[in-house]
Amino acid sequence: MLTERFFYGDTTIEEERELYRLYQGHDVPQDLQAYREMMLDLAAIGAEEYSIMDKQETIDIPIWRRPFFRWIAAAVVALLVIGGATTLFMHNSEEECVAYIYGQKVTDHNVVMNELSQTAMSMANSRGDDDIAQQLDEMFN
Amino acid sequence: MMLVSCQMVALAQKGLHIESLFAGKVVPQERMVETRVRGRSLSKYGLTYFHSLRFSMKDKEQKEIRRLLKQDLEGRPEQDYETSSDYENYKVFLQLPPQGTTKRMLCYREHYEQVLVIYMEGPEASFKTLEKMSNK
Repeated sequence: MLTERFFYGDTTIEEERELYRLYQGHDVPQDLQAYREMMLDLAAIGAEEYSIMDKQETIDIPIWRRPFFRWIAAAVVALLVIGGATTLFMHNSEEECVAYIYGQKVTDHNVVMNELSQTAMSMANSRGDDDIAQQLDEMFN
Repeated sequence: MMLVSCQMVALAQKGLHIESLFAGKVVPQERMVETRVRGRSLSKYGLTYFHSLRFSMKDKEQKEIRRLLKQDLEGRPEQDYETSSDYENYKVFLQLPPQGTTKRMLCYREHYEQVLVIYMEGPEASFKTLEKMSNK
């Protein structure tokens, strides 16, 4: 079957190598014995060509085109993206300045901080009504 | 990591029963003014987190809020909190156990139906900080 594909030119280089190895063995089926001599000749020629091709492949493929390098590069890029996104998110999660005024979200820093001051003032003013806060301040500060 | 951070932001009052009030489960958020500040804006006050609510409550809500506050005060040492109550006002000031160097404080004030709640965290979280924040 492989021999048939070989003659149709459908075999890959690896398959051709496999085919040559089969014909170099001693258990070639009787009906394929007729091709054995030819295959051995082709194998001898092919071995030289493959040897040259292998050397060229080794020499010519730049490092950035090698699969291993591509995987490393992809992993580095992925780590940088994830790391950057995480850092950005962590920074944002540590910073918050927002008010919801009767359901309306307000992010204007001045408005929010003004509301904060007003709220703090209202609570602080309640100190005048009794001495609770004074007592707690003395206890914890 | 992002999920954990979200939870940290959302659950600063975790462990307190009053958390459900901050989460809008007692009084709808459409009826209140909520302020939430965290980070550099508070550094000058020695705080890391400030969360406040301001709203007018209804009788049913008042009962639920007071129930939550009572639960939060239960079992705490007397020196950690003070309450005061009269016809016009009801106040609760609770100093929560610190988390490392971070002090935590819950302040609650009712004046008739007007309610003000503040939860704050930071190395200097105290009543003095409130005065400082109000520019008195």
